Amino acid sequence: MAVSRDKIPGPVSDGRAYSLIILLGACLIWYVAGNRTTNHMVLPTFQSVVCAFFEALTSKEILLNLAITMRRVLLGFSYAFCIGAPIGLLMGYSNAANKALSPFINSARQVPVMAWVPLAIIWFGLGDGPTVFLIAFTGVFTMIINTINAVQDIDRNYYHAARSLGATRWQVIRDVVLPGSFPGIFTGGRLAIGLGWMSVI
Amino acid sequence: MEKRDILRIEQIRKVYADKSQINEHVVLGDINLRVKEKEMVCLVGPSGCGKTTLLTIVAGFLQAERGNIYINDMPIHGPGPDRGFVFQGYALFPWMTVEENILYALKLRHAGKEEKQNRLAQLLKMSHLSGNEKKYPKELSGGMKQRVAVMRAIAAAPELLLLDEPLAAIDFQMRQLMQEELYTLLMSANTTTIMVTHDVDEAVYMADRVIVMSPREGEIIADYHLDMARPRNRHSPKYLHHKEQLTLYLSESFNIGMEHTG
Repeated sequence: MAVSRDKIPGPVSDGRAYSLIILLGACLIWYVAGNRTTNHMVLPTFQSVVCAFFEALTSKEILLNLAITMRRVLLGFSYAFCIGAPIGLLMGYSNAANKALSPFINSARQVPVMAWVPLAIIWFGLGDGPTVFLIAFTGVFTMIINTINAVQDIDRNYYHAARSLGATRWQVIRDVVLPGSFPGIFTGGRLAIGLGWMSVI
Repeated sequence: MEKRDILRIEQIRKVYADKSQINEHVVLGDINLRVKEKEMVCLVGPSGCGKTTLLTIVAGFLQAERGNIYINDMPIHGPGPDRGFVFQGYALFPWMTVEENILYALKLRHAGKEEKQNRLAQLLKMSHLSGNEKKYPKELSGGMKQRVAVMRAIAAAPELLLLDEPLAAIDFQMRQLMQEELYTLLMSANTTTIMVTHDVDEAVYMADRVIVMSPREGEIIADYHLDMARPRNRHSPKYLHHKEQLTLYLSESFNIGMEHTG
């Protein structure tokens, strides 16, 4: 008898159901452990954290700060994307560009982000400037490297196919390189936003 | 009236060097071949005989060290829409629908909307793909992908259609069925065709002419004409005779390869 490889239908095959069970389990452990601990500095009770969370959600000040942080992250990410994606596309597509730029990119990305803080303050003053710069700086290399990989992973035969159907170099870039590397660029973007959140503090 | 030559391959030489650039391997020594209008030619030979290399040089994807290739007496420089190519894995653009894949060559030469619609309707009818034009390649079966690949390659009416082992990845049971499907398509496309295959049966079923290449510098050891009516009966004595003859040539080619490398 042939074995069906189809997914089992229903909630069992849905990973989200498991996530919910894990979340409820973790909350339960926290609840029990929190109530048994006498020192709430070490482990606050579950219910007090939930109350604080809902208070924060309705606090105007916190919401405003959250909006400011999101604005910084998105602004920094936009710079990372607008600078990183084109450089990555160029380096992925052209071997010469890759060889020429790689030493600079590879050495610049080794510098810890904290080392840029004094320079960022001198360049951009106090305020949003240095923060946005640092978010952009952490994201830009992720964007570049993911985009290079995405372009280099495109099947050579797609280039051949386009060229044999009459595409010029620019048409190959428009119709093969851009759509072919899109999933990789998208992954780079997700990682860059994640790194942006982490470096915003 | 004598048919004209669509393709002329003159003294093509291709050498692969290893990374150290010291050892050289001559894949194609001195290849000469002419293909006439509307001819269906199969290139056969053991692995490593240079048949795919020759096809990719004709397509313009690879450059030869020496020699010239002419399409309608015009030398070729790189790939171009006068030569349609069907890849082994089809290489359909996964981000384009069936319709966009098929019409890509026409889009590139800025064909009008009406021309594109007429050609699309004609090609969909020819390939029995009507109703699937909005689907993406991942939604298609292997046979449908093959048909889309052939349609994409012939959409802009190339002078020459090149196929690189289009059925290599298909299992044995499906293979005969897809051979017949491909054969019907190629007949209705009515284009000069060169197909690389390692399957003698496929060559006898489809070709007007079979070129047997050897692993010794890609030397052509047989230029075999198949004078059989179409469609061909795989069980007819004539068919089996041609198959046997070609199998003998292929064994000879294989032995040459053993001597050459051994």
